[in-house]
Amino acid sequence: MSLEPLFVWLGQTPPGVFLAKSTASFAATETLHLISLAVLAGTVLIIDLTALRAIFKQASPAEVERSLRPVLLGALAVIAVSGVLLVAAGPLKYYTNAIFPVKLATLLVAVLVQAGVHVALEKRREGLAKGLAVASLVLWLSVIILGRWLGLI
Amino acid sequence: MSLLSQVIHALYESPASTALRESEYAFPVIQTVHVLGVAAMAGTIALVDLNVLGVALRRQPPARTVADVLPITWAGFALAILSGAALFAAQSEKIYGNVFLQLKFVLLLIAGLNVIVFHTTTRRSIEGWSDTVVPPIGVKASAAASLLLWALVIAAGRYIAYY
Repeated sequence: MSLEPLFVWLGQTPPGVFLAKSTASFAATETLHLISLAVLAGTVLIIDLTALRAIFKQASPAEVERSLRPVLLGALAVIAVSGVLLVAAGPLKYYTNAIFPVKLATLLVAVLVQAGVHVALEKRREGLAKGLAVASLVLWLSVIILGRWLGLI
Repeated sequence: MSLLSQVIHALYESPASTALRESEYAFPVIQTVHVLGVAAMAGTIALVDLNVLGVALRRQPPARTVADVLPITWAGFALAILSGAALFAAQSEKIYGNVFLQLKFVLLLIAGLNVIVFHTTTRRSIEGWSDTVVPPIGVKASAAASLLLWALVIAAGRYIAYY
């Protein structure tokens, strides 16, 4: 089954039509995407480096992760909503973009690995948490790089 | 021709700027480095601010958060400013009149001053804080200003491309 009708429909929704016409609103949506991306990056860096025992050495990594989870999930929600809006403003550009599905797949794996870091810390599996923290850092770095490059091809 | 426009012209026509401007890959690679640097810097600053405001990391004394994330913030800052300077040099003559670029410079200056105020006065005053002490209102105001200023810096940076 082709996903093309879904992309076409997204472009015809009121926000899609509006953002396709308004440069200022499109740039504002991009700005929202970037600000929440920065907050996500800061949160992930602190959670993963704490799990790796590189920073916050006196604190419990599980506690740091627990306290930052609302910020992480909030940033992720804003990234997702603004991301869908950006696609709605020009859906066929993304439908035909070779990097777009790779970015989405990498993002999905990054989210799953981040959930894995959470579970490993809660269950006090320190070695596993460290391995997943390294994977998480590499995956989020890849998501940002892919995100920048899909706009360039 | 004013001195500023002469300097900008020399910068724009320098071999390094010309090479970067005409490169197929170097320019987008440096743009990507800029995004990564900004994310690491602004992200860690935002979490220190949220910590001071009592929104995140409530069990962590803000002074310790600052000390622990500062190397990441500086590394992000170094990446952002070096890549930003290269991106500016490559397009300088075309964009130095851009209103959002000028706005971004002004906002960076104000955000920078806020950082200096934080590190010379506020940070010293929070050294002795424990998790039970509520930060003074001035400290919270500085943290809120920091969140707003860095968000505006990112916004101005994004709008440069469209105007």
